[in-house]
Amino acid sequence: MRAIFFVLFLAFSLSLSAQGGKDIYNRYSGKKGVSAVYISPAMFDLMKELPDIEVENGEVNLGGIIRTFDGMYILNIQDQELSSRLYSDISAMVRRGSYKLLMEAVEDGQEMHIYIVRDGDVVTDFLLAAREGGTSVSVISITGRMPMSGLQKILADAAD
Amino acid sequence: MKTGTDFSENVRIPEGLEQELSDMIDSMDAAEKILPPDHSPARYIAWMTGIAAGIVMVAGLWTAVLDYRTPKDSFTDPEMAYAEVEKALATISEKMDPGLEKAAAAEKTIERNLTAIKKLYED
Repeated sequence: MRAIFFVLFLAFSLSLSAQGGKDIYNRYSGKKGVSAVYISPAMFDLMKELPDIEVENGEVNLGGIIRTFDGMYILNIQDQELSSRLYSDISAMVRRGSYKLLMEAVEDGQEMHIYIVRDGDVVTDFLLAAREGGTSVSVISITGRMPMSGLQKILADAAD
Repeated sequence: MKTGTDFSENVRIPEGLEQELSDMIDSMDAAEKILPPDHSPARYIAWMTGIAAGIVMVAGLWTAVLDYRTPKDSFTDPEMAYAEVEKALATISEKMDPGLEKAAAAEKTIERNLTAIKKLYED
């Protein structure tokens, strides 16, 4: 009996804590003051068949890296309570260990964190969380098989 | 003709079993009358805790079901989806820029200070 309770308690604890970008998205999308965008693996497959996939962003060619994506979750929250709850959920998710901090920038009430999950030289999850003035939060979560070198190139190009 | 249910003739009931069962039922009945129902606060708290744990468990499992569901695609047109991905990457770039600029500025300051220290040692 105790074993059953223990397993149920464990399952319950895990269910309360978000596991990744998808859980975060499911938890907040559809709520008042939240705009949400989801792009599925099937849609990414369709995108790969587009003739002009060579997308240019300034001087950065994003076509190559986009081909490695298989899911994208975007949340934009304009609500103080939800914003702080979302940021707490992300912190809890990071504390559990699979996400590692890649970059952090804090300035004048604005903060931005980038977390990644790595599988060797490949990034399987990328999550950007940006908070402005405590009232609005933007989250962009990307899943896929992104080579670390490709991601580093985007980071370097953004800095130029 | 005998059927499978006509076993009563062949099965021997041990002597005194009927009496033993009757005595057992009587003693259980007597015990039930002697022991008062447990209305102690500890029992009540245990009951309430159990019910609360059950409710919390169901709520947790429901949350898990909601979290694991596959969301609905926001686009039906891959070109529009592509434009959104491009926009998201531009946002990532834009959000990262100030941090990277500061890092680059800090790097320059460190380099400048290191050069000054090196120069001090060389003189």
